Amino acid sequence: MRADAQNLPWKDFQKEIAGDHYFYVRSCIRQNFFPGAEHYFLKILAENLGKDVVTDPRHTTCTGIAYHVDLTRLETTMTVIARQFALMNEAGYENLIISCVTSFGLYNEILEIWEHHPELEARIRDYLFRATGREFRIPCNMVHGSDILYKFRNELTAMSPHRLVNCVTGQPLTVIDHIGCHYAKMFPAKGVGGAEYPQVLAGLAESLGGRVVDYPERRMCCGFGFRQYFIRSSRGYSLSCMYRKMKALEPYHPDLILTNCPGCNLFFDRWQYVIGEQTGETFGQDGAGIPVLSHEELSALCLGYDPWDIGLQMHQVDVEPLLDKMGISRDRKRKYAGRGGLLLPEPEIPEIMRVF
Amino acid sequence: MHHEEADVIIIGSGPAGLQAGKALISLGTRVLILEKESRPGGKLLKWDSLFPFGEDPAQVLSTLIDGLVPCLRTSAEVVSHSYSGGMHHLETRGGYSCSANALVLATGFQPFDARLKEEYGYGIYENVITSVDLEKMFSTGRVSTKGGQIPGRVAMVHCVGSRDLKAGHEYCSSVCCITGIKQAMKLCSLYPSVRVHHLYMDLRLGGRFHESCYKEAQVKYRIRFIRGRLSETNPGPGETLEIRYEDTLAGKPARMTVDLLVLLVGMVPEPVKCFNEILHTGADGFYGDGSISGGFAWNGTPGNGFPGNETPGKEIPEKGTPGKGISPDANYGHKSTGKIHNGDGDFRNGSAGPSGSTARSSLFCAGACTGPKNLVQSLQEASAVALEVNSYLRNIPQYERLYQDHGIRI
Repeated sequence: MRADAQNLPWKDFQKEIAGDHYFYVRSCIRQNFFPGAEHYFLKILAENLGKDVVTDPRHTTCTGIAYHVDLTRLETTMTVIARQFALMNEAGYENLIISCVTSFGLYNEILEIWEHHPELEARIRDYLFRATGREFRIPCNMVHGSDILYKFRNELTAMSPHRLVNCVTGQPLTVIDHIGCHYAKMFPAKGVGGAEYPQVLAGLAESLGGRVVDYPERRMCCGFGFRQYFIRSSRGYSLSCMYRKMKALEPYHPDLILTNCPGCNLFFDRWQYVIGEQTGETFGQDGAGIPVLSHEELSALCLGYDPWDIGLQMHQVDVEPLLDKMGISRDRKRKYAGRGGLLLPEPEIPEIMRVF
Repeated sequence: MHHEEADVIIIGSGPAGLQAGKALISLGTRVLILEKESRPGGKLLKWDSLFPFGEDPAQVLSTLIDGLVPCLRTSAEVVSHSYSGGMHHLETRGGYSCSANALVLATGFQPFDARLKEEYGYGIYENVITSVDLEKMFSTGRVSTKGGQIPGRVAMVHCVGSRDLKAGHEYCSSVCCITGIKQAMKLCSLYPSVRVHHLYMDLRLGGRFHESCYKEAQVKYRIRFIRGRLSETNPGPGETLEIRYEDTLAGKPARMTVDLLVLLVGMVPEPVKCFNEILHTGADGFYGDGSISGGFAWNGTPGNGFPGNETPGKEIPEKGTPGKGISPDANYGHKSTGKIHNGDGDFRNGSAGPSGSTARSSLFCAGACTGPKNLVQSLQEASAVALEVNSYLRNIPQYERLYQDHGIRI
């Protein structure tokens, strides 16, 4: 790659990101696998940045997973999403933050379809009204959660006690960014920095002191891809995608893989172990894996929240090598502590992939 | 400040501008040709050889420029335009100014900035180059990778920045297919061991002898044509590049390791800023709207002043007899001569020009600024535009005599 390769025309492309008063819709899977991520996202927004953000427990899945495996009709998906808009309107908000990249892509796709087919939008309005008595307005501003952290990256960095810097050598840590396919590949103008070299995670990581590296399969899918993963017979394909990615990024010796999509975060985290079991290969130092964090988890970690409160012990790949490099102290005893300090049984130590 | 006057000012000294100038001078018109660069020739200066027969562009240029040197003003980028007293007044960046009764824009095109297709890797990987870069290499007599190696395998990607919604250019640039074929053959004749692969959507070889070039490329040079579009470029081992594409005939995604990737960049319109208010562009960004009648009507009222359009259903005058018996204020059936009529105004000496001339009615356009076209088409169009301009200026129908004198088909 050329030395001036960062001189990319799309790099400075910025989309509109509202500055305050947000309505937040959660991901179906993020809080199941990474239980602190969304909680800390809301906490950072409300407490660290002093923003007005609400979420509504009545909101549902966007049906993204079902939609992408052809289990729901498009009209059903549209009506469900119209209901989320209605809930946002009822709460008095017009700026929507979406936690999940799949949802983000789907919301954008539906708004795009409605733009070309207003008759379909009218039909959905009718369906929603007949089913729930609700009406809705399309959000003024609709962004992904990582867009918000990108927008406030400098403020976050200013208040963060920890940096993506090796506390011993003072060198920046090497970060691999992986953007969910549905973030900007469908609609490049919906992503900060376009579709090919999105800046949303790179900007956040660099602001926090890290060094983002380019690698051959940077834009490739993590392998989640719904139909690959959910249909058992094609899981091998899903895994082979991840394996190819891991082999491509391995030579760069990353200290951290940073993702913005719950599915990607899950896959990078879990599939490293599965690859280890199948092939005996691990990709981190000394038989460990490469720690994987989402944008919320990384921000919370740098802001000084306790890694075990953020839920980093729930990751399959142990994050402790990263914590050591960043010089983050933690209480070993609290790693597997439950609520109220209740000690839970420790998980089994796998033979492959080192756990600390 | 140096000031000059002429009958016609031509902006741009590419092939269309020079050809229009040559034709107008031969008709006895006083011409000035403004060129923003320090050398005349436009894109001809950038090519090493011309399709379909590999002619030398320097020779073509010297023929075109012959006799025009006294009219040429180089390093004269037009920065402002005004119209008063029946005259166009232009000022250039260097402080030079000039006035004339009619203007011809022959401002050409710009090659597409391939960096915008980030996934193709131009500006990111050293060995991703454009067709313009490759011509530059040809002119040095040596084509090599950045590391100085002779490439063993080369891929050429068609439609870079053309027929591409994402790039904002939905039109076909019409010359890239044949340019790529010409370049591939040149490459193979320079280095017989090189293997060239073309990645195309479909081949558009409408020009004369373009199809025979295509055949020669396959039969004589064994150049491979793969129907499929590049999806992305990645670094490969060493200096190589790994490209990922879909072979749409085989219905399979595929990869290839290449030493050099050539992006056949399309044409991008480059409207001159100071004419933005009076000149209208089509949806593709080129001057005119591309319709047969509306090609003249940049003011957004197709058919305005166009006699064939005043009566619905009336056909365009037949070739060879245009203009006869029709007022000189009118235009005749050439698609992209781009003239605007009507309005109030005067003309030099009050009586020599057509009555009712305006800034728009005395503005003409030639060459690739009215849409992608090849060199032959540009030259043909420029000759036709010269006749239009002359007709406008002289207020006399001269087409018949000119047709006989010059054998120009309009």
